[in-house]
Amino acid sequence: MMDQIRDIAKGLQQANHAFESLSNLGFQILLNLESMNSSFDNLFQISRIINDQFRAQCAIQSHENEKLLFIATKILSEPKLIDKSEVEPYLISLGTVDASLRDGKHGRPIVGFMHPTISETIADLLEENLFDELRLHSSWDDWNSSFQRKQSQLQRLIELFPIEHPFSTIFVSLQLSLSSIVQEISEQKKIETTLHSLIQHSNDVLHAEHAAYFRLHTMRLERQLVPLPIRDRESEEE
Amino acid sequence: MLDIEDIKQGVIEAQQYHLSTLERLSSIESNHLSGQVRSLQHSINHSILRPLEKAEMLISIIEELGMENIPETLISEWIEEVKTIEILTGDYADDGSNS
Repeated sequence: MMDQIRDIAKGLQQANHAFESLSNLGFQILLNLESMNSSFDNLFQISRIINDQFRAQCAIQSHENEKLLFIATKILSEPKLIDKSEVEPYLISLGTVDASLRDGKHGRPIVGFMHPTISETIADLLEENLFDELRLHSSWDDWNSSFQRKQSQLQRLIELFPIEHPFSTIFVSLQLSLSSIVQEISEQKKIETTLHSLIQHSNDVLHAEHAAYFRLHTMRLERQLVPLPIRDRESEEE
Repeated sequence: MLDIEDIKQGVIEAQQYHLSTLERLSSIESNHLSGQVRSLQHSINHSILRPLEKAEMLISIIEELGMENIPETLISEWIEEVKTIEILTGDYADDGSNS
């Protein structure tokens, strides 16, 4: 019995680490979305709402995980508690965790727990490219890479959770909403490049009517250009 | 799909043809034809050569950046523009002698 609880506690501990990593991912996405929204005049509020749902789900899962972990560690430190009738409901909770653990990788979804294989994969996945995220995003290419990294992480997370799990649809929605952001970033990159080329070519224009034609396009593109998002260092440090 | 190379070649040939026409027109030394000659030179310059120059510039930007790197709204307008100008480019390849 104690060995089983020890395994459960270990599994819960790993899940705790994974929920922390997921919560960190949610925070990184939030920072990116805040910067994007301030540049694009709140165009990506839906993405922000989906990410808030994700962060809320991380908080619920973490909270439940800590409760279960507390029960397991308490029983491990005081084995006599097992015989007390008051502990029975808590043992039932640990029993559902044990059942899910025994189900294997895609076992029944239990709030606050995930299989250690999935926990490890998540921790490894989200630790990859961690340093790239801390770099200053000084061009549209940097933002594009950052969002594409998030998209590929979300794609791998989608594959890890069965559809019944509350994370599953959130990851799908988040991944889809980031696609529209990547598209906007790519459009901005195109505008920037074309604008640069138009300005260069306008120097070679011989006739006034051509100059006016290119100037008109330059002005149209300039209006579509949004300021490069800047990440708020202060909120990042928080 | 726009065949940029094909259009570019057509533009160059049309330019050569019309420039040689302009050259021939300026060699006409006749007082009673001078008005018509100037009018024709003006028409060739404004109605043919200017649009061809514009097409040449657009093609050069499209070639430099690549169609996929130009904003969607702009590239569709430019393609329309180039297609319209393309009408001015006939089959001038064998007509270089301008006879």
